[in-house]
Formats: sequence, structure tokens, C-alpha cells
Amino acid sequence: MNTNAVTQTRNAPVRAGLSRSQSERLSTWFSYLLLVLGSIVILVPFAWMLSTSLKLKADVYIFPPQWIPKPMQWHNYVEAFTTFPFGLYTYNSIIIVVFVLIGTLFSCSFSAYGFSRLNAPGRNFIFMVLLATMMLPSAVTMVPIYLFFNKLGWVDTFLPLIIPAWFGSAFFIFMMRQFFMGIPYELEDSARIDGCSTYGIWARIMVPLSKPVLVTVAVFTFMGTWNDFMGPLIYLTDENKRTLALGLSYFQGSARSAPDLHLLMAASLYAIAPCVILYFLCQKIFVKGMVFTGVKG
Amino acid sequence: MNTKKKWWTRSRLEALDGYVFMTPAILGLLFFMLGPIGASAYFSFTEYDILSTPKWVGLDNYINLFQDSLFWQSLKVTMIYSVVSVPLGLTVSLALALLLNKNIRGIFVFRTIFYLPAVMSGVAVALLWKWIFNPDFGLINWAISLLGFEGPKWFIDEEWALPPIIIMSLWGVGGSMLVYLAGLQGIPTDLYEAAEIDGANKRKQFRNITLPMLSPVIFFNLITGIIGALQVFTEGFIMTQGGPNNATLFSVLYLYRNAFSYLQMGYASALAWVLFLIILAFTLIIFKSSPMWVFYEGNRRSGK
Amino acid sequence: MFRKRKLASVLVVVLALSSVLYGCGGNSGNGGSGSKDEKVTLNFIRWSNGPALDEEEKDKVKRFNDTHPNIQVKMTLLPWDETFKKIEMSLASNSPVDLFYWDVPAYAWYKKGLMKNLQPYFDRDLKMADYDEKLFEPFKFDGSNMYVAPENYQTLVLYYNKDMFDKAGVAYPSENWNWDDYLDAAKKLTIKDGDKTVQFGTTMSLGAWWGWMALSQEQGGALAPNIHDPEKLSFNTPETKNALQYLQDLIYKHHVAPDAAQASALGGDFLTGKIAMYVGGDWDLGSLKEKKDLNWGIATMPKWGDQRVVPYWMGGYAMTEKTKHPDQAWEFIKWTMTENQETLAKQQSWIPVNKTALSKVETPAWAPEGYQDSRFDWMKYGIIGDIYHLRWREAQDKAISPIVDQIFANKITVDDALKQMDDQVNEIISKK
Repeated sequence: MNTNAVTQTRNAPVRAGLSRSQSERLSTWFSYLLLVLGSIVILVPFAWMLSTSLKLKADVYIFPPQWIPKPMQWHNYVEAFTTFPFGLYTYNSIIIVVFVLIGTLFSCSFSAYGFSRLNAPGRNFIFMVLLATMMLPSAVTMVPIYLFFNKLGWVDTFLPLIIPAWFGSAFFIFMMRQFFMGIPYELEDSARIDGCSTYGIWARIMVPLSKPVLVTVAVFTFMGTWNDFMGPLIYLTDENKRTLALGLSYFQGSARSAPDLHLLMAASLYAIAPCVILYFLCQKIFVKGMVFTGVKG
Repeated sequence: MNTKKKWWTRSRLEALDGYVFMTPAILGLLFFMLGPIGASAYFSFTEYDILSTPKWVGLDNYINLFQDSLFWQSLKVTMIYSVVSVPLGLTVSLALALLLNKNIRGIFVFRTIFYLPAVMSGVAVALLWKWIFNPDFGLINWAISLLGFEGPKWFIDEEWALPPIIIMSLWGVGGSMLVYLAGLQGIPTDLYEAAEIDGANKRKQFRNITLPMLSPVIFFNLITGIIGALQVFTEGFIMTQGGPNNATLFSVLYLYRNAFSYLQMGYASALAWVLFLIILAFTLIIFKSSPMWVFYEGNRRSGK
Repeated sequence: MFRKRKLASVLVVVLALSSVLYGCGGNSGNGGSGSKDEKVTLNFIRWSNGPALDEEEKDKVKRFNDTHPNIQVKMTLLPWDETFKKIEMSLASNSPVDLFYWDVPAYAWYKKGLMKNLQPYFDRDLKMADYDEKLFEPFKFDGSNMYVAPENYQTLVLYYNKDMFDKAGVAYPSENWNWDDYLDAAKKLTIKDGDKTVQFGTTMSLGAWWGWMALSQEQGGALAPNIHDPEKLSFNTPETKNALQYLQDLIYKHHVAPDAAQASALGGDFLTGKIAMYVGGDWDLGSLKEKKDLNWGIATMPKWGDQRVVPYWMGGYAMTEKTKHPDQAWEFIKWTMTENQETLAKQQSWIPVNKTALSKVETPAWAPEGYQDSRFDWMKYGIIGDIYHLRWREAQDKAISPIVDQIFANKITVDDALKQMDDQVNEIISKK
């Protein structure tokens, strides 16, 4: 688990001897069967969502369901957008995500460098405390942090959703520290000889070298922030400041004013889309890169 | 630079730099973790509606909590959810990881698909599953009707309100599945080769190599799974509003209501602390028991 | 130290950006000074009533803003449940909301001294002869001062689907109907296909506490002798028992109303032509009047035996004690009670409180016959359908709703339910 940890994916063990035997082939086919079945279970809900979102209102409540709506009601998406300002909500979500991303990447890599390379009394103790907070349910801190931001007058602004990201996150610091520890000291030493300060080393050597881990952290942060519901629910009120997740939950409304399901599904699909697109763009990072999160330390 | 004063030895300078680098984390720890925990402990002994100043009430909140039937109900719901969904999730994700660890063609495509649900969470997914579990027009009961049975009244019957949320959680096990997969790929191949030479069959190999080698990963997934399960909120809030008849009143949902609907910050803090202690107890038990079942490689390379 | 400077400049940029964010994080509304020419923004929170009524509310605010260049009312619509949370949270913050639309949970803020006494403004600016002051009494929380400015009345009416009545050969509801007639009709209007009911005679529209309490009130029942700060609420009374039993029987004895599962299986409601009739709020007219393809009628709420008591509620605006612009906030409130009343009368979604406006309410083109009587006759036998108590909201959430859920799921007898409700609610409201 060293330098190339991120891209390191060893293939599954190839067992010697039995390579082409019949039982092997049978088990392969059986695996395929299971994989295909599993994929269906995973993908059908999406299809269901898409199908509902394209139906006429009256066709939603038909049993057994009709999978391919005819005619396709693309108009539903327009309608969902005109009843609710999802464009504005998307913009808000993006603003928050961008600032959270910058804050997380900066603060985590900055701190992680301190924890991994610079000897300071008490460092390991602080790090252990930091790791211990990963066990802490956010529900415990929810009320005092709300009161704190309320005192600052930050309620109903984006700040309570953004600022905490600027102060590191235990898990990501842990990840980055692991990564930094794998970078050979020689690189730093030679930079130091060239007159680079510690900050210069961080900025010019560590950060560029840790691109893979930064991307991973960025992608996870994006997903987490984009999907966050409780934060916006607690802190945001103003109609013009709602995030997509919050707007969507209000779109669901109350019993008195439940919206139509086809519109709700159209809006939900829209809310999910950025995550899905990002996922497919970065799937290598997810599926291969996860290896290095190195649970084993 | 370093020669200005003798006191600034190289190691002191390094320490100074170290603290500067650690500053964000240290401040975060103080402002968003340790500080709030302390504050929460204090508030739990007060009556506080934010509108007026906190009033010290001693143990009243805790005493009321233990007499509050809704608190017990919320604890029950959360416990059932955790006790069922965590082991189930661990098993399913391990099975999937084993399946996806096969070196067969196109496996990458399957890995991509299986992880997909894990990148989504929150409101949109909760809304989708609420519709999927619609007792009369939903996908699930349609599938059950194809098998010739009649599906239960999901979300309407009290007994059938929690199961859909558990099933839904299984859909999103991609995260722990990937961690398993990473763990599986970290198991040295020579172990299997040696076992093969010794004539151990697949099942034996799984029991004697895979499981022990994977135990640290299971340990990790178990801990994160429990912490996650005890904090479920969005599903209860969006899908059922805690109903019917509080059958899905998760602890954090009840906490949220006390804090933000009834403005009982003190009571909510007491609730948060009890929840915290429960999570702590679980974690400690698992940690204490880990030497019995978690196997650490003796020769693990460590950078520490 | 070039690197350090670069780092420092990054930090400066970051700080600048976050201050931009804070800046756009609108602490509008804190104009500070209250000078006359300065434009003042009023934060106003109300709950959403669905698209149709929300549009009218947005239009109302827009018309006010257009005619009052110095005041900008900024409305935030929220789901009902979130509304009171958010107002409360804002009252605890340093940018409190100025105006809000009243509903019962807000009484807690009156008790905490967070609602402005509006009586001085009433005395100064309003001609009370224009209003039916007796009906306003409930909003005099302390017995003499108005704390909420009523803008509209709401009541219960009977809606029915004419086509379904014609098809079943049932005479349309009349003002002489009592709940037995209602039940008889519901039986005839329930249609089964095999063992699945495809059309229900009625639906559980009175399942919320204000619904079944209305039935109890018709028999002379009441939760407490005094609606303000009652010390004890009596649920376990014969009248309330009758009311809830009647409703439970609609589902489980007579099978003329769907239970929760059947309602979901029906895949529709009155609006989509799956329910023949129901008694519900006249606020439903807001969406019904848009419904061109439904041949619907309206009638007075049925009597209990030969007694009729129709509940009414009032909607209106209130001001927070903490508002920095009470005069401007009053300006808006006054406008809703005076100038805007005629528009309200025209829109027909809400019953105006101003007598002149009320007298101008004409039967609109979309309204079926019986509209006038069923909607306005309650003033003869109206009784307020509210309870004002600091902990009413909590009692509702924790005790009333879950127990009522069980009644309508047939998991508990009405007797047991009311005993439990009595115990639990009184325990909650007796907390200090």
C-alpha cells in the first residue's frame, strides 16, 4: 500500500491448475446469472422512475403498470420546472458544493500534511482524538452548532453549510494522511535543498502528487453535499436560497397539497442526474480508486 | 533564517509549522466537535427554548426522557432498524463483493452498476422508494402480484412501515461492498495457492483465508454501519413522517422534532446524549470483542 | 517567503468570497432606521395551500408591493409543518420575521410575549362597524386586545359529485340533511366491483381533530368551556365518542369510506371522480373552481339529529413583537383587512371579513346552486373550531394524531382511544 496505492488494483487471484475445467465454466456462468439478476434489481427502480416521470397523470394509477408511456410526456419536466424554480435551487446547490469543495480540499490536505510529516508534540494525540470523532453522531452536535450559528446571525445563509467544511473532516484527513505517508521523503528533501519552505513543499510537491486522492475526496464531498438534506432543512428558509434537496422535499408538500407523482418523479430524476453523470465520468475513481482508502492502514 | 535565535532549533520550527498545518483540523475539532459536545452536555441539564435564557433543571430532562413513551418507541424503532439492516447489509455487500471479485469479462461494467445506488441518497431516493412501495400501484407489489401473491400494505400497516426502509437501505450497500472489494483484493494470492496445494476446497478457503483476512474490513464496515444506522433521519422524515402511529419514529427524527418543532433544546440535547452513549457503548463492545475475531496480519507494512 | 505570500493571498481571496456569500445571504429586512422614504423590506412567512391558492397569495403580495412603493413584502411559502418551525427559529435569531399568517400553533408565541398587540392599531385605523366584531372575539387572547388581524373566514361545507348522484338515483343533498341521511346516501353511492370497491360514497375528510370535533360540537360537545388556555381538555365525552364512532363506522361498519389502504388503492379522490361526496373546508373551492371537467355541487354541512352548528375558523395576519418595522407591517395588515377585501370577495377562495365586501360577494359563474347558503349561512350558527394552548401543537403531534390514526386503522375502540387521549393530552398540557 505505497506510492501507487490509488491505481493499484490487483486482479482477483487466478487459481492455478483448474483453469479450464468444466466446473470452472459452470461457476462463471452462474456468476453471470447472479450478476445480471443483481443488475436488474439495481437498475429497475431507475427505469420505474423514468417511466413514471413520462406518464400522463391518469396513467400513473393503473395496475398492472404500463412500462412504456405512450405518448411520452416530456412536457412533465417543463411543468415540474414551472411549478417550482428548480433552476434556482440547482444554482444554490452548486454554489454551496463549490465552496464546500474548495474548503474541504484545502483544509484536509493542509491538515493532513501536518499530521503526516511534521513532528510536533501532541500531534499523535490530536490525531487520535480526531479519529475518535468519526464515531460521533452528528445528531449530538446538531443543536449546539445550530445555536452557535444562530448567535453569529448566520441562520438562513449558506455559511453554516459551507464554513464547517473549511475546518477539515476526520475521515478525509485520515485518507490524505495515509496517502502522504506513502510519498517518498527524498522528493521533499531535494526541494528543501532547493530552498523551498514547508508551505512550498506542501503546495508544490504534496498537493500536485496527491491529485488522485484529492479527486476521490472531491467526488465524495460532492455527493455528500449535493444530497445533504438535514443541513439545508435546519438552516435555510428563504425561497431563493433553497437547495435542490430541500426544494424537492417541499415540492412533495403536505397532505393538503400533494403534487402529482409524475411531476415528483420528474423532479427527483432531475435531482439525481448530476450525481449519476458525475459517477459515470469518474467511475474509475470510485470503483478502482476506493482500494486505497486502505481500511487496513 | 533559522539562525536568528538559537531557540528556534530545527525541530521547534518544524513543530511550529506542524501546528500551523494542523490548525484547520484543530479549530474544527474545537468548534464543531469538542465544543458542541460540551455545550450539548450543558444544555441537557437545562430547559432552553432559545427565546429565553437556559434554565438549570438538573436531571429533569433525563428523568422525563426515561418516562417518555415516545422516547422508548423511537429507541425501539432505531434498534430494530439497526439490528436488522446492519447485519443484512454486511452480508449482502460481502456476497456482492465476492461476486464482483471474480476475474471474468465485463466485471468492470457490473462493478459500475452495483455501486451506482451508493452515490445517491437523500430526498430524491426516498421519494422514489416511497413510490416503489406504494401498496397498490407500486413496483414491488406489482412484482409480488406476478408471483401470484398479494403484497402487504407497505407504510399503511404499522408492521409494514419499517421493512421498506430496511429494504431500501440494502439497495445502497455499494459503499461497504467496495470496501470489501478493496479488502479482498488486498489478500495475497499465495495464501490461496498454498491452500490449493494443501487440497483445501473453496468453502474451506473462504472460512480459513478470506474471512480472517477480511475481518478488519468487516470490523470497519460494522462500525460505520452501526453509526450510520443509528442516525437515520431523511427516510423517516420524507417517506413516513414517523408514522403510522410512530412506527417509523427514528431517534434522530424525534430529536429533530423536540429541538426544532417544540423548541425544547435542553430535552433534545439530553436525547442526543443518550443516543451518543448508546453508540459509544456499541462501539466499545465491538472494539473490545475485536481481538476475538478480527485478525491483523503480523507482517503488515505500516507507515506509522 | 514568496510561497507564504501566495498562500496569504489565497486566504484573502477566500475570505473575500465568503463575505460575498454572507452578503448575498440576505439579512435584508434589517434596514435599521425607519425613516419614511427608505424602502423597507418585511419578511413574511406563511404556509402553502397548494398551487391554486398560493398563486392568489403571491398575487396579493404583489399588488400590495406595487401600490406601496416604500414597502416590500417578501413572502416565504413553506409546507404547513415547517412553517411554524421556521417562524419560531427566526424569532430566536437576530433577523426575526416581521409578519406571519396565523394558525393555532402560533398561540405559543403569544404566551411567550412574541406577538404584537394590534389593538392600538385597530383603534386608530379601523372602523369596527365594518366588521362582525363578535366573530373576532377568539382573537382577543387576553380578553380585550386583538393579537391577530382576521382577513377571512373559513367553514365546512358538503361537496358532492352530481353525476354520481344522478347515476345512483339519489336526490342531491339538501339543507335538511342530517348525518343519517348522509350515511344512507353514502351507502347507495358506494359501488363495488367484485370484492373491490371502485367508488366510495364518502371519504375520511373529517379525520383531523378539527373535523371530528365539529361533529361533536354539533351535539353540543366541547373540549373545554374556555378555548383560551384551558386547564383541562375533555375528550372522553359522549358527544365526541358519538362523533368518532360515526366516522369509524363509515369505514369499518358500513364500508362507505375507504380506510388508508383502500384510499391509496383507489388511486384518486373527489377531484378525480372516485368519491361521491365529502364534508370539507370551503378552502377546497380554490382548487375545485379550476376543475371544469367535474360536475360538482355544494350543500350545507349536515345536521346532527336536528341540530346544526357549523364551525368557522379565521385566517389572518399577525406581527411579531420583535419586528423593526411595526408601522409598515401594520400597513400591510390593514390593507388586507380593508382595500384587498373586495378582491378577496371576487376571488371567492376565502370569505371576506369586511361587511361591505361580504355583501358584494356574488355567486360566481363557476359556482353551483346552493353556493350562497351553504357557504355563508354558518354565520347564524357558527362556533369557533379552535383551541388555544401553549402546548396544543405538542399534544396534537404526540398524543392526538397517533391515537386517531389507530382509530381509523381500526386498531383501537373509540372508547379506549378517548380515554388514552384524555390522559395523555392532559398530561402534556399540564406541564409547566
